[in-house]
Amino acid sequence: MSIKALLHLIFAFLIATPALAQTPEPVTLEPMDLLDAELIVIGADGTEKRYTPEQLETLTTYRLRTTTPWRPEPADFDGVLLSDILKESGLHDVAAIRVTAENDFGSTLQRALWENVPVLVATRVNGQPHSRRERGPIQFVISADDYTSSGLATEAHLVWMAARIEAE
Amino acid sequence: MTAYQTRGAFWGRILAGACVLAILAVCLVAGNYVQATVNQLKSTHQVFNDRQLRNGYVAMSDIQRLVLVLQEALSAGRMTPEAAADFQAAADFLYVRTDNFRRVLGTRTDQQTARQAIAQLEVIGAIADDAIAADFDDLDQLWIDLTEQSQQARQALVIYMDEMRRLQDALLLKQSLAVERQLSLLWTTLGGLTVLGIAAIVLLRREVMSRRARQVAEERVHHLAFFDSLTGLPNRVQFQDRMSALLNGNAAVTLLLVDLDDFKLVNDTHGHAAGDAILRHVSKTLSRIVQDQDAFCARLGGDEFSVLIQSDDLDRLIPLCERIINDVGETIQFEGEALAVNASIGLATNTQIGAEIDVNVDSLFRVADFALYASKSNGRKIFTIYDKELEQQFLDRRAMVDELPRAITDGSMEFFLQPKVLLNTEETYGFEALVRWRRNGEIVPPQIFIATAEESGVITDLDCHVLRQASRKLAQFNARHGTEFSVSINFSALHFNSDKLVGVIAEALEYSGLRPDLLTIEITESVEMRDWDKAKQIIAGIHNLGAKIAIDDFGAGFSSLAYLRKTVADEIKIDRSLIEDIESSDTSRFLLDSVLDIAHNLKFAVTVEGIETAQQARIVSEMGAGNAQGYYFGRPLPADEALSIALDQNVGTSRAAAG
Repeated sequence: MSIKALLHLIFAFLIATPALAQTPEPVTLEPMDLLDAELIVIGADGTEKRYTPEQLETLTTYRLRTTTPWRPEPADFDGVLLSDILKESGLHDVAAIRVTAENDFGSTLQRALWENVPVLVATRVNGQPHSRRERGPIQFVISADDYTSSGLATEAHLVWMAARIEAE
Repeated sequence: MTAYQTRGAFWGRILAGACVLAILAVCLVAGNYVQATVNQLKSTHQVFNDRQLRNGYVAMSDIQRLVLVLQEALSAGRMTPEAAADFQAAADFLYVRTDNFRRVLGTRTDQQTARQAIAQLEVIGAIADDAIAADFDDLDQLWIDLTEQSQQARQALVIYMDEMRRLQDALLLKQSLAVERQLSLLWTTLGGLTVLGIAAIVLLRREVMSRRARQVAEERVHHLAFFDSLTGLPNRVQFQDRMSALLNGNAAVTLLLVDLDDFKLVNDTHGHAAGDAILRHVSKTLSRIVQDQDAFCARLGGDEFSVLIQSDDLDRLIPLCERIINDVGETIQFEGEALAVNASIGLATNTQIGAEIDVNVDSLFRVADFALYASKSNGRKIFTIYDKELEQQFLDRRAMVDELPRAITDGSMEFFLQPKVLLNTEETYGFEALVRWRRNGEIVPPQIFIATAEESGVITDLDCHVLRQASRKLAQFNARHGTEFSVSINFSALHFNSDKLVGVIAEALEYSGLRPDLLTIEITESVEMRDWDKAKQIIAGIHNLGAKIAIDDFGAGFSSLAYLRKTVADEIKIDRSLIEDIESSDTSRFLLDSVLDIAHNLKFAVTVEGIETAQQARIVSEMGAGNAQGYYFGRPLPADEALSIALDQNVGTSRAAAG
């Protein structure tokens, strides 16, 4: 291999590397019985909207293959984008949102996060309903690459058993 | 740069280098200290973080949630499906919490309390899972097991959280200490840097001031190098530089040399401050006159000024010279006194210089100086234009200057002897040696070349040459004929500023073998004697040799009475100008009588010069003069001829000393 060809290869690798970062891809999900859960979204106008996992999946669904801090092996997470949920509720323009879990854990997400990093609100994992013991039924998932390199996401943003979203 | 400044700059650099090293050392120490503190904090953080602490109290909340669901079921007497779902959810929460707890702990082995708490949580989880699997068949036993195990788990969690709290306290303490230390370090560093900064500013200020002083000194040196400090005019160096540039450009230029007449008189009469005032007046006058001309002026030194005009138009130059002479001569007031001097000017134009002279700065100065000399000789307060006639004189003089040294060595310079006689017997007792130049077969009289010899510095060699030759001639003649003729040699007053003269006379006496008392050195006053102390010292040296001193041309020189007061002469020779009208003028006779009276009172021997008639000889003899010299007694003749005549007249011997 000539030096020129080697340089081309290195250049192509450098160009392609960001593209290898895992991003949610649109996916069509077959209907299935999901676990009982409810995500309450308090809209910008104060109206309350409740989503079961099935109702969430009426939005455009995506699949993200990634590891999480609790899963050393990659898994396929299916669900909808947080930004889509927020747009539907008129919260996409607020400065920050507060996400509360069923176990009362709370986390604040700044707008820069959902504008720059795809945050998947997962309802399935590896094609199965997302149980609580697997940090479901509704879990915020961010690609491990984005999680480690964006500077915007932290482990605290990976809310599991998510139950409520409202403006901060 | 002086040695002091060099040493100062050296130590300044050393100090600046030391300051830089000190700053680097302070930064290095501070950096290391901060890094050590940060490392310590990181180490503590590895042991404790807030997630570990949070796991503890959230786990307690999860246990409490499980117990509460069971408690409500017991109150209701049965586990409803809703309660079972809540129990399942609570068990799931606890499961996830335990899992998370385990993950955060990782593989660490130093947190035994955490492992004990996790083990207790796992037991509770197992109890809950077993109850769910058994469909809550024995609620009472479940309550007993769960409350008992919950109590142990809570204890383990409290112990764990207490340890976490201690770690947190330690961490906060270390952070506080670190901040305090960094604050101390910050103050210390700021203090040190402030001191170093002040030192740097002081050094910088010194350097700046040093540079400024150096710049001022350099500007001062530059100004002194090119300007006259008294008048502020350009000096000779700058004038010549600018003049050279113009001449190189082949421009028509005219040089005016302006010299003040009798400036010394102002200094002597009114003091040097008055002289300086005159010089400033002249400089202002010249500056004013040339400012609207294509010209510039300079002070060359002393009372010499110069003006260079870029023109050779005499119609323009002549009025300019007249204006300079007129305006410079204006009276000025100095400390209440009216002062005025006149100026003489020599004018030379490069276009008027003939082909025999290379036109350059030096030659233009020479010819202008020649024209100035003509102005001085022709009455002063005038200007003289260097023209063809003057150029011929200049070339003659230059040729004479060139030939004079050679004439001394090749024998062209001869000496004639004129007898000096005793008035009562008219017998010759000695001679005055008078130099003559046999130039191209013709005898050149001394008034033609003596002044040139004096100006060119050849007079010293010329006088010494006559001294040696005349002494030797008289010594040989006296030895051969048994006579005691004396000889007088003229020496310019120029000689009387150097100790060499005494040596030269001693050498001549030794060379010739002449008896010292037969040698008289006549001081001629063609130039003014300036250093009287030195002259008296030299005269004493001549006396020590045994030779005599005579004052020549007394009554016609610069300051004859001063000579009488300041020198220790043996003889005065009264100038011919006091004799000329003696036969017809009572005033002249009275004047001569007074001079003779002074001379006798001061014990001087007196020789009256310029006796041309028998009546003059009789009158001065009756007035009491002892010795005389003049055409009446004998003209200057070649030495052999004069000596032969004197011998024939049978005069000589040692009567001269009795004069």
